[in-house]
Formats: sequence, C-alpha cells, structure tokens
Amino acid sequence: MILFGSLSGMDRHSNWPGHPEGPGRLPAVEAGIRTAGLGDLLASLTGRPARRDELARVHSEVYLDALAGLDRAGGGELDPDTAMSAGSWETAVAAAGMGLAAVEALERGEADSAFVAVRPPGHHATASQAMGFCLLNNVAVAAAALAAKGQRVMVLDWDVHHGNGTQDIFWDDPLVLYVSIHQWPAYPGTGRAAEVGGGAARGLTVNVPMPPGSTGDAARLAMEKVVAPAAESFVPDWLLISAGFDAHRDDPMADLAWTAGDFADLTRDAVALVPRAGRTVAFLEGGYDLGALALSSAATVAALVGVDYRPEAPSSGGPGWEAVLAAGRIRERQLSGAEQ
Amino acid sequence: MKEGPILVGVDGSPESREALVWAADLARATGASVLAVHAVGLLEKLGPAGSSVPSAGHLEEIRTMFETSWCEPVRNNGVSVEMQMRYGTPADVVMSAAEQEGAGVVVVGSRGSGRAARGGLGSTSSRLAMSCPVPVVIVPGAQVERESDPAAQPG
Repeated sequence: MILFGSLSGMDRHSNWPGHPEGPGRLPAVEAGIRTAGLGDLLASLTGRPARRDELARVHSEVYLDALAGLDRAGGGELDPDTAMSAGSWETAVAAAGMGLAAVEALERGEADSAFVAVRPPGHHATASQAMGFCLLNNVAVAAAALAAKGQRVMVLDWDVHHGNGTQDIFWDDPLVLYVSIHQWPAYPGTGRAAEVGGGAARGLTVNVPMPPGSTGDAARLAMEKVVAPAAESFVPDWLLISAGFDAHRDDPMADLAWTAGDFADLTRDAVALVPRAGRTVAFLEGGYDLGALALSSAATVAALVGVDYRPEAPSSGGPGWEAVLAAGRIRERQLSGAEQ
Repeated sequence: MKEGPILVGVDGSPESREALVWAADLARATGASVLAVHAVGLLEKLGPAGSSVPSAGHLEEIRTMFETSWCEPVRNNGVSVEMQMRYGTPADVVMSAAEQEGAGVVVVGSRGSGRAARGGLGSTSSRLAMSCPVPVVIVPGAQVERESDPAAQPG
C-alpha cells in the first residue's frame, strides 16, 4: 500500500499564464495513476499545513515573512523564472506540510511508502531565496524534521536540474546525505562532482552530472557505481526522493533522454538503498511535458508498491557512462585530497 | 578602482544597455576591459514568451542576440570585451563571475527585464548592492527613458 497525497483540489499557486510550472501538472499525475490502474493500491493521504517552526528549520524568518507578505500584496515576480500569485503562500505551506504528513503517517505504520504530488516544487529554493519555480524547499523541510529527531536521511534527487537549494541547506549536516543525478551543464549551474559537502558532512553531498542526450542506462550505472556505495556507507533511516520527471526525453526543459521505464527502474533501485521498509517518500519536483509526467509519475508510484508498470521501455545507448565513471573518480580525488 | 575587468550584467533590457554604455565610457577612461555576463534561467530553454513548446536552438538564438545586439554598445567600440553566458539567477551569476574573474567593479541597470516588482524580496540590483564582493554601480538612466517611452506605458 502506498499513501498518495495531492494538492490538486486546493492548488492556488500560479507563476503567470502559460508558465510551464502550471496548475495542470497535478491533474496530469492523477490521470497517469488512474490510467495505470493503480487506484486500488493507493490510500489517500490527508495533508496539513507546515508549521512556522517546521519551515524555519530550513528557511530564514525574514524570507518566510517576505514570501507571506508578497502573497498578501497579491503576488509578484521573484526571479526571471518564478513568481507568486495570491494564494501561492497557502499552497506552498500546504505542499511542505504534505511531505511532513507523509512522514508522520509512515511513522505510524500506515503504508510502505508515500508519493506527494505537490507544487510549487522545492529543490531550488535555498534558505533565503526563491528561484527556479521553487518557493519553499518541501523535501528539505521533511528531511530537517527527521534530522531534528536524530534520524539519518538520504535525499535522492533525480530531477534533471541540480537541487542547489537542498544541497546548500544540508551542505554541512552530518545527518543528511544529498545525492543528485542531473544534466550538466544546465540550470542552475551547480552540481559538479567535486562538490562533496563540507564540515562534518564532507562526503555527504554526491553529484553525478550527466551530459545532454544521456539515457537511462547511464543513470542506472550511476545508481550502482556512485549512489549505492554512498548509501551503504551512510546507512539511511529514511529515503526522500526529489522526483522530478523533466529528464524524460519529451520534456522541453532539458536534454536528457530517459523514459517512464527508466523512472520505474530508478525507483526500484532506490528503494533497495534504505534498510527498513516503510521509510520512503517521493516528492514531485519538475516535469513539464504533461504526457511524460503522467506516465513517469505512474511508473514511479507503481515501482514504490512493487508493481511492474513500464508504459515505455527503459532507454539505453546514449552518452553518460564515462561521465558517471569520471564523477566517481573526481569525487574520490576530492575526498582523498581533503584527507592529506 | 581595483584592477580587473568591469563586469556588466546584461539581459537585453534598455536598462542593461545603459549599463553597458556607462561601462564602456569607464573602460575607455581607465583602460580596463569589459566582461559582459548574461544569466541563463530555467525558462530560456523554452521558446519565446515562455511557451511550453520547445524551440530548438533557442539558447543559441539568445547567445547570438547577447553577443550582437545586446552587447552592441561595447562591440567594435575601442573597448576590449569578453562575453559569457552562465546558468543561474542574475544576482548569483554576477556575484560568482565577479569573484571568479577578479572584477574591479560590477555595473548593472537599475531594473532588469522582469515582469513585476519583487515585493520585499529584493531585485537583482538590491541583492548585489547588499551582497556583491566588489563595488557595484547601479545605472539609473534607462528608468527615465522607459517612463518617457509611450510604448512602455500600460493601456
């Protein structure tokens, strides 16, 4: 059984008309799951708003006040890609709260995993800056809540864009392992393999940059050669997935060539990284081609409940293998250099 | 002014053009070079006007505009100029480029090509004024030009 939480019925966030991160995304996810016939395996997750103290674990008070104030003023632009409308604040707080509710429900043993279909996405949002369509860092709010209780959290981010906000928030936090597989070079310009974390968390940031055109076989290699060893060393209590679906070959925002079948495989491999069952939550991040989003999110949900649903075959044959091996080498060199 | 290039944030707006004109005058007076930097955001992967229909080569179209019309005030104008496109938000891109390239001064227009005011969350120029590691010049001239341009008025 998987918990499925969606903000589709109360989504009041809009960047501006025609923006790719639009309100059609959540209904697309729901339609994909219906089409896949997964309804009987889903239990509805009831969300709650994130509390101020929960948000303040990762965001500055000044920033939270400014976002709420801009909402009260009717909205406005935050960066050239990102804006708020009246209602964006309430939606963003509900999005962050949905992740917290998922964690709490799994702690009560209500399901084996959870998928939270929320927007705005979160992984670009830093402690004090909205950017890249993101206002509040949903996955970071959940990870910080768990870390506050002493839990060890692995955040696996397979959105096609590097999650600079999440990396930055947990850069020196020894309770959070941040792992990202993403296209590079691409927005936001961070995510080189040599970025490995700092302070007491040196080595707990793992980046695997992929070249344009890269296919799913390279991502699976990254899971085997780079991600799995990091997870085995870290031994996470929880796995939180920043599940963006913009690495899909049909997505207009980037140039990777993954398929829905690849997301199924990555989910299967990811769940195996956390020793205890019932400790995995996937958070919707990017994904802007609605058809690809529907197929890919459904494949991910299916894999979380152990159902083999691959509406598209896994992809292979593109570049990326050398990039994965190079990322491993660069990372090892960076870490061994720090120890000398 | 400390040695190093004059870094100019460029986004194709009238304000960034004014910043380039001002920077070119400073470059000629001091003998410094100009480093023009354009921040590539998420939406620039898409076609014009944020359309969700992918536009093949749109980034290359932007590069061409950046390197020709946007940077026209410093091209073939007796000024040594380098042009860079970098991924990220405008303020982050300008600050990281300033640090990495050892810029002597940063020059930006008073307002970019954005769609609306940013409430209390800070425009690019105000973020730079607060956080940039090198001195920042904010050129206000284009603001006057925009206000006097009938085509820029609503309605």
